[in-house]
Amino acid sequence: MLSVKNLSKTFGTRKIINDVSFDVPQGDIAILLEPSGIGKSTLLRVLNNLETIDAGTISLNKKPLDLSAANTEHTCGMVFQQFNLFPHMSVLENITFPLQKGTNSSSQQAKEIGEKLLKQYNLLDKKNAYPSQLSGGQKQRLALARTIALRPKIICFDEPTSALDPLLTSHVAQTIQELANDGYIVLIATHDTALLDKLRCTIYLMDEGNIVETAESQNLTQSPTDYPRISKFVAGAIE
Amino acid sequence: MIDFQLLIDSIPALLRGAVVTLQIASLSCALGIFFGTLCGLGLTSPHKLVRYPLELYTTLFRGTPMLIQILFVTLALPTLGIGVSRFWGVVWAIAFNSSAYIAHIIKSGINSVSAGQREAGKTLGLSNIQIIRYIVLPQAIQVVLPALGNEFITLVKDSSLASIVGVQELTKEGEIISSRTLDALTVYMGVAIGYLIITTSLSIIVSLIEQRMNHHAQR
Amino acid sequence: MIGRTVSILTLLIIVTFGGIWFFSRKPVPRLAEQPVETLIVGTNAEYPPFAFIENNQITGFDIDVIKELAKRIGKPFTLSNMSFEALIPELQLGSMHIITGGITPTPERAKRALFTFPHLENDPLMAVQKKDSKPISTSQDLKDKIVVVNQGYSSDHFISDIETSEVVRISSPLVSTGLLTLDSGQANVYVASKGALQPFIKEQQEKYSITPIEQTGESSALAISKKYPQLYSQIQSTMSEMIKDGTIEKLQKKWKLND
Repeated sequence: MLSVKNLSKTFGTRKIINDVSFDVPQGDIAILLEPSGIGKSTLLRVLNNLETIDAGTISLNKKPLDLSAANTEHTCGMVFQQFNLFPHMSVLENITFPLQKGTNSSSQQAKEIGEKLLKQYNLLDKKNAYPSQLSGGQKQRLALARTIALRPKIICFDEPTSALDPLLTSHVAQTIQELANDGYIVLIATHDTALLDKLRCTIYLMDEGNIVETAESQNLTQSPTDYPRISKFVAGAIE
Repeated sequence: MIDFQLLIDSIPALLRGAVVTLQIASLSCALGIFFGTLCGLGLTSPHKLVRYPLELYTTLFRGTPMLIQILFVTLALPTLGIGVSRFWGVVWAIAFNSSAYIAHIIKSGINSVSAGQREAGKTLGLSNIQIIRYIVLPQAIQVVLPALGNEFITLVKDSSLASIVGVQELTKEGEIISSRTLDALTVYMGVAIGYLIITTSLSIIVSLIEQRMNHHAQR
Repeated sequence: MIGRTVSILTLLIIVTFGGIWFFSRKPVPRLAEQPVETLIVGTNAEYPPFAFIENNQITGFDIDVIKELAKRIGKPFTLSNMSFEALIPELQLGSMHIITGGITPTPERAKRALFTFPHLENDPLMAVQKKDSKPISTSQDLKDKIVVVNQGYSSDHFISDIETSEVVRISSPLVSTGLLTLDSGQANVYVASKGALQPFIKEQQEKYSITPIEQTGESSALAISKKYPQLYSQIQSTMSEMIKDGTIEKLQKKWKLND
């Protein structure tokens, strides 16, 4: 279980994350909803050691998490909004390269793992193609496969649907749900409310760096009036 | 006024000179790219102690004429006890000059690689050196390949300065023939044609290489 | 793609050469010789004692010859200073009438310029080496040496015809550059004419071993542009006079040449 306690982060004079606390058990999906602002993305970046924290603690399974080692120990993985695939490497190489360099895998092992993942995400026939030749959905699946290959415990998605065709949202949601079912701890930063009813998740609404409302997705559908701010946010999006 | 027979008779000597020209340009370009890349990497370093000396170096070599650099290396250094052959003196002088320009080309290439690439590398557990070597540099070089190709072609023309210190490249071979025959028009036209053939062929080769590499480049 | 560009390139080369060949065949229209009011003379004034700059003036043996020549022909003259390589096209195009400054007449050069009777003959070539080197006296002795010469001068012609290990041709006519090349170890021997070394011999006697090379005796003459054949005849007859009446010999003595 991932525990975030009293996390704070300031950029200049603005408190982007203000004394935030929440827990995400294994197999759970936490959605950080924020109408505008960078608090949600910053939180994910903090988990992936792309930003430092000013105050607070983060623990995994009751043990404090050493953020500076999070990358090399492959505790956390990130699927970026722009995917950030390596354009000069083939689809397969995008997976095998970090595997070989980041772990002790031999090239043979890396190839096997890579092809297995590509098959799982329906990209095997494209293994020698280049990222520029993939569709948006395929790029995201490759970005995910690349991250999963390293078997992180926590997977973060930064705005997973914003770079894609809205029609793909259900497919993205299905892929993410499968991850949670497989036992990963999943965090999503988004302002896309269309994801909310497609996932079994815990929704944290952020405003001015604080978590102002929390809801379980099934409870939200059953009694939206119990969650006025989130419902308002959802309603605003539908209009 | 143009002596066609002289032009034909001069071809063997001019060809010999052209080979030397290409040798000088290739060697200085290769060395220039090597040192220029190291320097360019250093220029993007966050540490002032690394950046400042390198900025000084590139300012020095970009701010003084290549001719002076060549004369210094080939004539002044030996009198200080550092012996160097004329050919290698010219190659090194041009290499250092070129590396200063290439350093800035590489620096802009590196800066053009999006931060997202670095972040992806980091979250995947790659070390800084691995990120630079396998993620940033290959993409940076792809971006600046046209500029590097142009630098090589420029060096072909700059190599003509080697004639001043007596290295027998294309221009010098032309000078020798001109001096021996008191003909300037025919001979220097031949020399100009020689340079034109070399630079045009190189331009074609460079653009072919660019096309092949752009294959994979789109983001 | 490659095939197409190579064929275009080849085509361009053939067309270029063909064009040059075609235009070079057309007989050059024999324009009437332009009358000469003022003699336009060019020299490379870095070659003492033939032509050099002293007290901001161009002076020297060849300059004195020009002065006397112009006086006898009865025309004023202008003197321009530029590198030897730059003088060549000027003469070829006829924008200069005469070039001078230790220029050696050769049969090959005579195809493109008109040479006067030499005003200096039998100027021997000297081999300059670092002190305590084995003396060089014949062209055979140069067989295994790296020789440095000033490009275009008599030493250059001489060295081009004999066997050596390597030849370094420096663009500058300066004796000092030749000596510098010798000092830096980039050459074993510096060959230059006695006339050119003359101004430096006293100072350099301690540092270098200087020996004459047998059977070398080069000449110096004026080169007249082929576009001025009538001027050439005039100059030739005047030069002949100057040689016969001892003027040339007097000038040679003045500049310590041919002693």
